[in-house]
Amino acid sequence: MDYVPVIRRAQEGDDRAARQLFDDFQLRTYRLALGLLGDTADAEEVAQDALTYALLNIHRYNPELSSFSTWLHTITVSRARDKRRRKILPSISLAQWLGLGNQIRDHAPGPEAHYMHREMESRLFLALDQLSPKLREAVVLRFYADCTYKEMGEIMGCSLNTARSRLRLAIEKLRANLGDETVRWLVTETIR
Amino acid sequence: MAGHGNHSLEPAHPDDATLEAYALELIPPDQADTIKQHLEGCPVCAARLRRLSDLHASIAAGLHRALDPARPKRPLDFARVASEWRKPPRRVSAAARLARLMSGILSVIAVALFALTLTVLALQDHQPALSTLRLAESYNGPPAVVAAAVEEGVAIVALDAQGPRVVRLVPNLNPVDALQIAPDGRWVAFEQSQTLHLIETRAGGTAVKLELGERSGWSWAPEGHILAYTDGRGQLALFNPTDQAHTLLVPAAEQAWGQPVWSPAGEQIAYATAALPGDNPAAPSGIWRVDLATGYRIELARSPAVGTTLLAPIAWLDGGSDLLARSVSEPYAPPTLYRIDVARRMAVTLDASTPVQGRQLVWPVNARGQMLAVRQGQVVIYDLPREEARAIPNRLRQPAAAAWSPAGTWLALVVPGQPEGGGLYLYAPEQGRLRQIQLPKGAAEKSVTWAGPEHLFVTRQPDSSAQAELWLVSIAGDQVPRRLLSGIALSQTGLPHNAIAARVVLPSAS
Repeated sequence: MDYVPVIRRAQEGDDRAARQLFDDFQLRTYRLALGLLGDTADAEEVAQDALTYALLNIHRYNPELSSFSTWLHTITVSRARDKRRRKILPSISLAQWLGLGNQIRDHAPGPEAHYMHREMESRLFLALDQLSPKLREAVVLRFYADCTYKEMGEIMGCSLNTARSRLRLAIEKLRANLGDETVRWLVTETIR
Repeated sequence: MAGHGNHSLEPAHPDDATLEAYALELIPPDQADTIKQHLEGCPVCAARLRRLSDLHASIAAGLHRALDPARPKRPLDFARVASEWRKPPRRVSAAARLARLMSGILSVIAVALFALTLTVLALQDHQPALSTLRLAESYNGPPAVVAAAVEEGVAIVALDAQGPRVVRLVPNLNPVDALQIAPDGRWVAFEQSQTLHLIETRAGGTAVKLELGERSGWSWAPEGHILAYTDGRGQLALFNPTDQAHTLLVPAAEQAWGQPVWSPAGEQIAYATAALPGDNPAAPSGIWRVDLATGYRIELARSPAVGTTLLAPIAWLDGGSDLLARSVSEPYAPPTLYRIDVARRMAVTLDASTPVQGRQLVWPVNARGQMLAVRQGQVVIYDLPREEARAIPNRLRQPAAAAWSPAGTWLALVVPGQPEGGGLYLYAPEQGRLRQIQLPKGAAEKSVTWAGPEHLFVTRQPDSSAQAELWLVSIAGDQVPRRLLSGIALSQTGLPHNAIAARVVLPSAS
């Protein structure tokens, strides 16, 4: 969908357009925040803050400089960093949450595969949890939000080359954290 | 083997780090081409690349599997946005804010210059030297404010128990046009060329100017404290003359023009849109409404003849459920009338027309949606909500002016071609009652407005005179008609409605 007319209306003060943007972007903002933070309560708070800030400052958004998604991702990443800094005690992590298996759709054909699937995803997110926040941002932005390196640089506030380096380093660490067996399983599962 | 991580391209197989960088699109294009050529001829490296790339794909797939179904426990709350949304500085684009700021600065400069002028002429403000205007010695009607064009400018006259008196003179402003008094009696508005002047009616009050373009228009809110205007450049905005704040409702790109029309409760404004000169001539003319609480705009009707017929709103009917609109394609021809169902956004052409003078209907619509109209060559009382027409008495054919009483039950009419003093009539359509109100001879009746439920202000013009008079007439017949003001200068158009405006004000506002 082309959001440019909706954004323009919101910038002119049309609150229904703002409502439409809020509705259309709330899930993807929440999911991005969840990927960045790995904690559902924190992700809700960050997504709410990011959307509220973005819409109340929509007049600052310049469509000639970046896409609305990129702008919103930038705010979300910034809010997630703030949240991480302020956080004292972790609540349920995404890895734990995946391990508990609540609210996740069942993609696997049988109970055993289902269990393995969850197990491997849990390991993936445990490995993600072990990355530094900036490396995790690089992984989530590249592999979940499908950002280009240029967009990653804009969102993370670094150069294009730094964004590349972070992703490369993140992959190396992920590979090391996951271990050969998990990597093989993940690869096989993806191919299958 | 290739060097570790330096992407050097020896003829031998690239190492894992180089292949990983290649898979992640981190290799410069020229080196990437070399690797690509190698991969095309080396199944071993191609398989290694797939294994490395598959990890990336599996990470992406794992993230999507975990995150795509995720939902917050409760939907995120838009109320936090909504509660702040109406605060203008947050929701207006930089360009609009700059425009508003510039407008504010210009207004401040204009006000400062105007205040300076008024200061210089302060003595005249308090002791106006009026060469032609004559006032009655006493007044026994409801408290009212009158604005009248005089030789020296525009005089603002208070009418109350103390008798008529000039409270302000705004000099050097002739000729003026579209003289109006705000519903609360606090401001007088009039045009001079393309400048809209807003003058506070109390002595020493403020004066503000708005510079408008050719296709501009303006109207007071029902309660009178703010003004809606189109600026001739496509914007529709509100203006509060007290704090001189502008609130943009419709941006210039949407091409609002002409006179905005407030709904009876003041919560909505109907306005016309059309292509401006130089724009795409095929752009449709439409009628829109803007909700003042939300700022939301919706199109109600679109011109039936794109590029040739402009539509303009006239009045809200039936408490706001319908809108009366007219065509403005031919300035000298009677307009086609349309009734627009606001909820269904459907326009119906009415089998009637009505004369227009400037931007105003000569025969206004009352609160019940009734108006005088020409239907099949006959002047009728047209009940717009019911779409019923009722004939009027023969003597009232083609009145020159009409005004509905506040309750909409009586119609005061000025009928041309009558002997001097014999042109004023009262007509009650529901009862079919017709009364002539005889005024003294020596002047012809020109226009009429209601001064509360029991009195009329009647503008009269002495024979062959370039001046007009204002009279107070009791409809109960228990008071003799009285001349309140004389020596009112008619504008260059010679139309009394441009030269005088009178409005009864509530005691609190007076």
